[in-house]
Amino acid sequence: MGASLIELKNIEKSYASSRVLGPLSFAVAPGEIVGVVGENGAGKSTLLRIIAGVEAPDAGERIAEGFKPGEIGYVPQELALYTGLTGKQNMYYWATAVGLRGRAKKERCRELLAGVNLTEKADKSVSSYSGGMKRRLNLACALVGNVRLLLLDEPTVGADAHSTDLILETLKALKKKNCAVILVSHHMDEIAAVCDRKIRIESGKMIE
Amino acid sequence: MKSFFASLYKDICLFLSVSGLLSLLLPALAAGAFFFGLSDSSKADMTVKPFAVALADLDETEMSETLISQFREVELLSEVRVYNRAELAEANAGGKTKVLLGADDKLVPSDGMFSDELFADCAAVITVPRDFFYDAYTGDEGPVHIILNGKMPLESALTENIVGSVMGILKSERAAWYAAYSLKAGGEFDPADFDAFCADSSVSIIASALGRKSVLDDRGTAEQMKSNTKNTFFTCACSMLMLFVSAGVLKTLPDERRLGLVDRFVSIGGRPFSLILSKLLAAAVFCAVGVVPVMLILRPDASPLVYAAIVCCFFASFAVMLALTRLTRSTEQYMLFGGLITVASLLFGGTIYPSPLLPKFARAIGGLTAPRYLLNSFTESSVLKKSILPLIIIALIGFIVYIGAQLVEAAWSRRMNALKGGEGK
Repeated sequence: MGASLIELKNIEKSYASSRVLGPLSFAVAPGEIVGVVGENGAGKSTLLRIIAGVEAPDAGERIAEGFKPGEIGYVPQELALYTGLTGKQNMYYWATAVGLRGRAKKERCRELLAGVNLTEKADKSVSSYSGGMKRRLNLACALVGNVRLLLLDEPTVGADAHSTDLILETLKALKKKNCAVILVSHHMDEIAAVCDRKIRIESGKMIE
Repeated sequence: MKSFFASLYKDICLFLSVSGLLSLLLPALAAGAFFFGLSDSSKADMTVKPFAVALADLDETEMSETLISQFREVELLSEVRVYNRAELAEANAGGKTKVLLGADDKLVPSDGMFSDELFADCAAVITVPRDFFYDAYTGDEGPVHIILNGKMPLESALTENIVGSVMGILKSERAAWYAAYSLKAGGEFDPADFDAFCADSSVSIIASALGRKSVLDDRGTAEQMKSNTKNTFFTCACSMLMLFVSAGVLKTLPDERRLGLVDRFVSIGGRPFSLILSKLLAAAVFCAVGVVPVMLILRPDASPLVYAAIVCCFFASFAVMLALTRLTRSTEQYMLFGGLITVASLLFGGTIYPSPLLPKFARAIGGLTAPRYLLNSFTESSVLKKSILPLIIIALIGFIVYIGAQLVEAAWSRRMNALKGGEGK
């Protein structure tokens, strides 16, 4: 596998009798930010879900370097937040789920909330957050573990400019920590701003 | 395990909102209201007040007249209004009642019949069919028909109880007398002799049936009624608690699926099963907490089997609400249908209104509800067969529907994605 953190070899995915993805081979190295672009329905989200391990490919191999729980951060396109909880409670939930306890958990959550500029709103219900705040919290929740690979599906949809900049700055900071990032986006300026390389998915096939 | 505990923490935090606390509080408040309602009625009077009944005498024989005179002596009955066939027809023609005699010699009930001149304020209308007493001896006994007044549930239930008991006694006494007659006649049946026998024995039989004080002991009956009422109230409050709590804990599940929360949970190594298990445990804990004040207030007559039925009722309620999460798309939709299911279960299950007084279709629907079978644990002799087993079946059906709907949804989603050539959502 060489220096790849995760590698997909000739993976295919079909729904009913139609192939929607593949055969496709793809790898990402530590510290690399890869942008994934393509039209709606091209198979980008399916690719991300297979990499995240949420869906299994019908054929081919997904080779992952022994990831522990919480080392893959997944930011789905929808706002995966409990609006009935506060920002802090949302963070605590994911932190507990990846195995953090006690002071380490509190410290990690405090640090992440500060990193996305949500310290003052941490104890407020998520239902009171703006769209941009929710996007930032969505990202923070995905980073709560010791993330080595971060997958983002359109993370800046509906976010204001400040929130978008903060999210992109966070991705650059992650790169410096040798975390790999796969970013699905329709915004070419975002791809250009942070990504080391870009791949295009068209009708389930990869064009680099 | 850590993802399970995280999920449990999250479900408890989500439940402890205003709506969650209300769903714990309302059943206890309902129990309190029931308790004070019961106490008021018992302080005012230890017995049921005498009430009126009407009797349609279609038999019009000496024997039915004997029955009527015996009924008039029952202290529980303040008035026994008797109408024969001609009087009923005249009253209908004169507009005093809309009730008609049907072709099968049964009174056809009409809306508002217990407000009309003939039957106003009666708890029930009892029809003694033609040739009732004669047919009883020849084994062709038709049932005594009773129309109950839904606005007087206690009195009408008492009347049904009394008439049922009396008819049961009459039946067994007649059987004994007929056996004696057959022995005496030695196989030679003389119609005139048999008629005389019927007339003689009926007086004794009726006096015997209505003379049995245990049938008409209104104090004992009232106490039994009070106990039954208390158990019904308990079933209502307990079922309300289980359905409210289950819905409250499970309501986030449709949105959790839709918003990718389940996907993220899986991506960090969590199992979808532990999401459901944490909700089950959270619901069980909250129900256990909520049922304590209800039990302390109402003190139902609960045997160990009844407690087992309560536990089974919890699983049945949870399973029904879990199945609903697969059949709805959002939390709002879920809460709407969950509320409807709760109200329908309580109503058709016979916990708000007595089951015998519900229309046939409502009783049939009630047979699909958990509260009905929890109520059976108090009223039926075979608790295992009439209560626990049906509750287990309802729980199993709920879980099967949940899993089945999941499979159907996955297949449908795949087909839709194939048609769109689309994203793997």
